[in-house]
Amino acid sequence: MNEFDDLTDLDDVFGPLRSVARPAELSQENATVDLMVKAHRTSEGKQMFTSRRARIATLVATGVLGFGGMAAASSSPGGDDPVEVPVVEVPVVEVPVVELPVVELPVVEEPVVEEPVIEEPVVEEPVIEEPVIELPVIELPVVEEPVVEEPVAGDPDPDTAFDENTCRPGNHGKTVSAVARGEFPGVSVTDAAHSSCGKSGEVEEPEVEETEPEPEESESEGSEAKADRPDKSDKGAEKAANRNSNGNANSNGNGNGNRNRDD
Amino acid sequence: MFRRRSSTLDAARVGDREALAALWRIHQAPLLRYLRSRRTPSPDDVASQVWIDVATSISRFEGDDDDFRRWLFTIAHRRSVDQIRRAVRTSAPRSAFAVRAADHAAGADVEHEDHDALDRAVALLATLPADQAEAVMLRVVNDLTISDVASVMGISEGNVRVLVHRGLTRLRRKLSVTHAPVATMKRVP
Repeated sequence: MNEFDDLTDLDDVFGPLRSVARPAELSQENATVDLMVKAHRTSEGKQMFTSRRARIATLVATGVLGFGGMAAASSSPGGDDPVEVPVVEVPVVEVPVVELPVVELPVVEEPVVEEPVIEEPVVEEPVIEEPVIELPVIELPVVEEPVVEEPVAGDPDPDTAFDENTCRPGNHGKTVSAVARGEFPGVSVTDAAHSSCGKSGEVEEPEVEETEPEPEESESEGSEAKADRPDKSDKGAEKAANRNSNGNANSNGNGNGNRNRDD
Repeated sequence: MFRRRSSTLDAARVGDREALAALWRIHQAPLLRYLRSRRTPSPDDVASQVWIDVATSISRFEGDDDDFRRWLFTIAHRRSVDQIRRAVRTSAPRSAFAVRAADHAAGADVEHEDHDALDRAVALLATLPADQAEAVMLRVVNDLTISDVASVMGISEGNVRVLVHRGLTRLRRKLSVTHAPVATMKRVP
């Protein structure tokens, strides 16, 4: 015999289990209900906090999803292909509207305090006149360059021992050649070369215009225009001189050749 | 036994003491029996903790009485699981009959007989495997739907049907074995 001997059917089992509550089972009603009321009161504040937290979380999630979708759409490598962003339905949290009572505060009229107007004296700053310093005019002394008298052909040259009265007729080269051949005994070729035999005594200027005309008039005009400029007159003159020197080199060659032919 | 008490639930949501007490009086006995059938240690303490949880969250609860019962037993199921695990870590749990006998106060003879019948029924149910006893208790005794039982226990509806069927079959077998005549084996010559 065991403890289940009087249970003959399933109804004998489920009958007591479905029966009404026994007084012993409801003995702790007051204590439990007090705990429930306390728990409900403390949960009201937590519920508000949880509700706010849920709202904030919903807003943050919506913002993140929105910005993330926009960023993904803008940074797509294809560019032309539209990116399908899945639409996330955020559950709408209905927040009960709490109407706060309007508290009318009494209007307190504050006395108007007129502050005295303080007029500040106008301070005129003295005008300081700076003295005008007159710089003395320094007159630079005019340096007169000494006039160098070039030796005239025919005159005896003091730098050489060659007697220039015995020059050969013709140009300078013939005299030097004659000395080199020994036609003037006792006279060195160096002295003969330093002599002024056969030299005209004038600086031979190339006849540029006669031998070779300017290729373009614009260049000459440009060079003249540049030379006329006051600021760049030196540079223009140098450029013109360079051009002339270049032209002279060619023209001199031609000129020398012509002279040699003439001679 | 269970009727729609939307007005009581509405009052309990806002923290009305009488409404909370009415809910407690209606559901306390089934809750205690359910916990005992699951061999939950200290079922009264666990039941109190379940009611505190209910009061804490009832303002966010939405539904009728059936929904409330499902919600209540879901909380009780989780609390019972926690309590059983805690008891297993500390010491061996006592049997349901011993638990009930220790908590039970002596009274009149009739009441004592009722208590004995109730205790024996709970003890018999507690001999089943825990999941079968819970399924039978929720589905047959407390008359929850299959889907509600599945929701409370966290299993599928098919599994609930199987557990209920096996539990009832095992109970019938126990009862038949208890009341079957003692078989005498004849010695075969």
